[in-house]
Amino acid sequence: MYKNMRKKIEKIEKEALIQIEKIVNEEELQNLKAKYLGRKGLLTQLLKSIPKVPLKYRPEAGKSANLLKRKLEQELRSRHDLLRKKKEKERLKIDITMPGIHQELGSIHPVTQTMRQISQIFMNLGFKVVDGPEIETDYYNFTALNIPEGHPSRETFHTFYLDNGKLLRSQTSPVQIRVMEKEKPPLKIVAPGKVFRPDATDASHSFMFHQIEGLAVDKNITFADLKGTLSVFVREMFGQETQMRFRPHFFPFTEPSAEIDISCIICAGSGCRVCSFKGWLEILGAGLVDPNVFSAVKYDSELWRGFAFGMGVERIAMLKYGITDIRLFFENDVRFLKQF
Amino acid sequence: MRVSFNWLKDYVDIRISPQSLADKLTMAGLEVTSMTKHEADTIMEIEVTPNRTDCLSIIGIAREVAAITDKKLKIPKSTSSRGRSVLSVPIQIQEKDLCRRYIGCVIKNIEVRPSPAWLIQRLEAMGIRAVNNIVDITNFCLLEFGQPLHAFDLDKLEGRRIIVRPAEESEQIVTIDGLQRNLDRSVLVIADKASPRAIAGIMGGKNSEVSETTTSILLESAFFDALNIHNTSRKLGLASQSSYRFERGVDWAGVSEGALRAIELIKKLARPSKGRSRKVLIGKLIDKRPVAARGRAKTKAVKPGQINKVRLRYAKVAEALGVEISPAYIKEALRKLQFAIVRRSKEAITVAVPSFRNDISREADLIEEVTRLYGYDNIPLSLARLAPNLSSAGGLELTSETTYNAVREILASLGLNEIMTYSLISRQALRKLGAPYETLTIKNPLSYEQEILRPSLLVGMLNSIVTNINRKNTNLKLFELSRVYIKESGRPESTELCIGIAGKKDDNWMKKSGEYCFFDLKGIVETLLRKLGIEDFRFAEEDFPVFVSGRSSALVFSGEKSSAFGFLGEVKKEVLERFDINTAVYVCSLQLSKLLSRIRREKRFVPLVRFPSIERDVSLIVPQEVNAEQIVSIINNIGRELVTKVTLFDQYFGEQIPSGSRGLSFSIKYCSKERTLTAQEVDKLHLEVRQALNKELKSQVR
Repeated sequence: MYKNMRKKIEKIEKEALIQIEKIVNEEELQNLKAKYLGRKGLLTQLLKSIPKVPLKYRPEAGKSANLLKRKLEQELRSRHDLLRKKKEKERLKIDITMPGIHQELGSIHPVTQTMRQISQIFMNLGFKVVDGPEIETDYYNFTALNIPEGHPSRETFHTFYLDNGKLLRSQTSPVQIRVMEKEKPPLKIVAPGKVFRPDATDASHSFMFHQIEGLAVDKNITFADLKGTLSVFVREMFGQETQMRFRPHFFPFTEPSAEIDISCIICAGSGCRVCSFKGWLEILGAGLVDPNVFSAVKYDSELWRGFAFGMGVERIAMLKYGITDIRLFFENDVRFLKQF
Repeated sequence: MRVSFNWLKDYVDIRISPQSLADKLTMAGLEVTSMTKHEADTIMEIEVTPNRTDCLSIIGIAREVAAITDKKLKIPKSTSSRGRSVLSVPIQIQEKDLCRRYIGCVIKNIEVRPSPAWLIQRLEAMGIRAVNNIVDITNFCLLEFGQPLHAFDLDKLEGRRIIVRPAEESEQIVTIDGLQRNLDRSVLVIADKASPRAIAGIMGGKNSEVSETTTSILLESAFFDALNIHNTSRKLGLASQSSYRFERGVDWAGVSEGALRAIELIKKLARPSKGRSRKVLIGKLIDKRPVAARGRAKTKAVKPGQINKVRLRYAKVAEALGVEISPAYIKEALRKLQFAIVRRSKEAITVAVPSFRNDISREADLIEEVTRLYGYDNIPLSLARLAPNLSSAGGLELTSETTYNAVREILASLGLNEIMTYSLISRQALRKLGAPYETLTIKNPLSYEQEILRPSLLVGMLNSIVTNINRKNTNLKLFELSRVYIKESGRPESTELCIGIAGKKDDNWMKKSGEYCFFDLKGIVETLLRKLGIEDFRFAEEDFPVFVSGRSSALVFSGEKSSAFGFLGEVKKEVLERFDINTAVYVCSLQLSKLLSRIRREKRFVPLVRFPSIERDVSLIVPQEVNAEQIVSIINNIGRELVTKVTLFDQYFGEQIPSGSRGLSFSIKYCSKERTLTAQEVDKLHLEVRQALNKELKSQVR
């Protein structure tokens, strides 16, 4: 008899738990509750039959049946909670894959950014940022820089002339002269700005572009300090692993003069289209200030020595960002501008 | 300069590959820009800097190769034959400054015929077409020594004489390229009795050209003034291998060396194959040097033909380079470069500069030569002597530059994109603005597109806007911060800021944003100025030629009538049409130079108010002529320091609003710095505000 009772309890438990697990809504839950725990529910019926169990087994049977009742009640309650939470979530749920609402930021022109980055590197080395006029005189653009009239090197500086007898500076070097005329050495300056040359425009030439000029004058400055300064610049700008080489060159305002190449930042020196398969990219001109430049500004070249350097900003920006056409800088397509 | 590797090997023993030679040349200052194969030869393209005229020849390059590879130089020595003095012509030099040396040599009994294969090969490797033995020899010597030569057909020289003189006004010559050239008094010519036979140093004349029938020639080797050749070449638009070298300056000694070498080759290669005498007859070298130029220079500038002596102090090398280089190394380096040591002491040496190095006259030049051979790459890196000093330690950036950068940052954070446009624009583009401007003009423009200096950033802005619209970029918020230029002698350059907005704001799935309007632009300008610490500005109603009448404003400082520092408005339809823009554009222009002194970048903390604020709204219907600023100022006048904020939150028109009026709704925030305001207090004050608005504006407060 008791054995039979125990079997029944076990059967109810097994079936009920399986069914509770399958409940997906409140209605099913209420039905199931009625099926087992309602007035005519299976478990209620069973509890009612306990008094018929022989006395010997009655406590045991009663205990098991009541235990099962509590267990089923608890399972139904937690099932109910689960359903409620699920419903609440469904009510609040948003499609988080919908696009975010953007407050779009603007952008600073890549040439401006590059110019600032370059200036900052030299500022960290104690150089002062200065500027000068774009409309210049022949004296500052040429003569004071040791480029006398008729000198063949004037040929290499194509220049726009203005109807007021002045010209558009073809280099930022005149700023050197203006600063040295006003200030006593020692000094360390960089001068960023626009320059103009009547060169036909193509992917790598523009009649207007930007340069940064640097000048340091002190008593004991040497070529080694020029190399040190530019090596800091090159590594800060293009990465610590970048190689640099100095090649002898000619500029009227420096002696000795050098052109500075960096190992190609695209192919790391193994040769590619960007470096014309040379492995090197020319990015800077530099040298020790020519004694004639010092005498133009009345500095005693027996007492003072200096170094100067200059570079094209667009060229550096093109290398850094991988831009292949200089005209993109001045077209101002916002799809271009927004990338920086 | 093209250089044949095989030809180079005639003069110097090269044991390394063309590639490693190219690397060495590059690192010594003669940059090899390309290398190509030409049959069994390698042709190097070398970039010769303007100071190194001596390297515009094979021998010049060979001298460098010998110095940097430490090999011996093998230059062909031409024996100077005495020549027959009967074979001579009169040479008269009228312009002594423009022709400092003229060597002529009469050569008779020659046979003009094709050159031998080896000569043709040499010339062709260098990219020069072979013509005949005489012309080829002059070209060969030009390439070999860098000395331009010319051969006249002697029988075609009228009067058999040479006059070096300026051309007559409107004189003409047909040059060997077959073109007629008009001459004037600035052009130096080589003439005979009748007319010009060559443009000195640039090109010979067609009518005295050496041809197959020529049997006698006058060989010319000269030293012409570089600047004159340069100017004439530019003026005539005529450049040649000769002018290229003369305008950079040729070697004084090379004038005779080149001539002697040519004579020797002519003797061998133009020997007649038939006839009575099988011998070329060479005349005596006629060497005219009109300006005596011998001995040491008295002045600093060294005249051609003089030997320059330069002193080099050993200590100066180390001082300049930052590395010790031994006197022995210095002497050896200069010797390899063919400088002769004429005096030496413990501290210094004095060297004689070879005649072909017209670029060397100072100690600094010699230091560069030593450094070149030592190798720039062998100089160490240092920062030792770059310590910051007191004067440059602070204020590393110009205050103006710091401000401009702040402006850029603020505008970028407001979603604007910085543009950069050309400073040179076309007259026609400027005219599209319909406003009068005085401009600076370029005398030598590349094209009419870049003929004048922009007096305003507006043209560039509108051009950028149309570029973007054409490319279907429809949401445009742009700015440019750059210089503009005016025709004024004092300060022709000033820095301006131009802001331009156009098109549709970006919609999103939550909100449709619509198109830009005047107030979007005004908001940007207000935010910018306030962020820069400028509070005392006002928008004053004013019309401008480029803007829609009634939709523009001048920016002025409060309390100052005179100077506007900027303007903004909606661009006129006619102007937009001229730029092919079919959408509304709003533009603002600010003269930053006028703002610089007013900008306050230093921040001062203002204590926070601890007491709660109370908000009240007021809606009123006002006639159109009443503006928002008037209303706000009445509210502020009545409420005084208790009004902390007045916000316009609605403007409405409609059935209930009489025409000629509009409805405006403001929200007013009342707050005291000292205590908590009561509701009754605020209500009383708010009522006063409403009454004042009613009374003063004849408005209808609701």
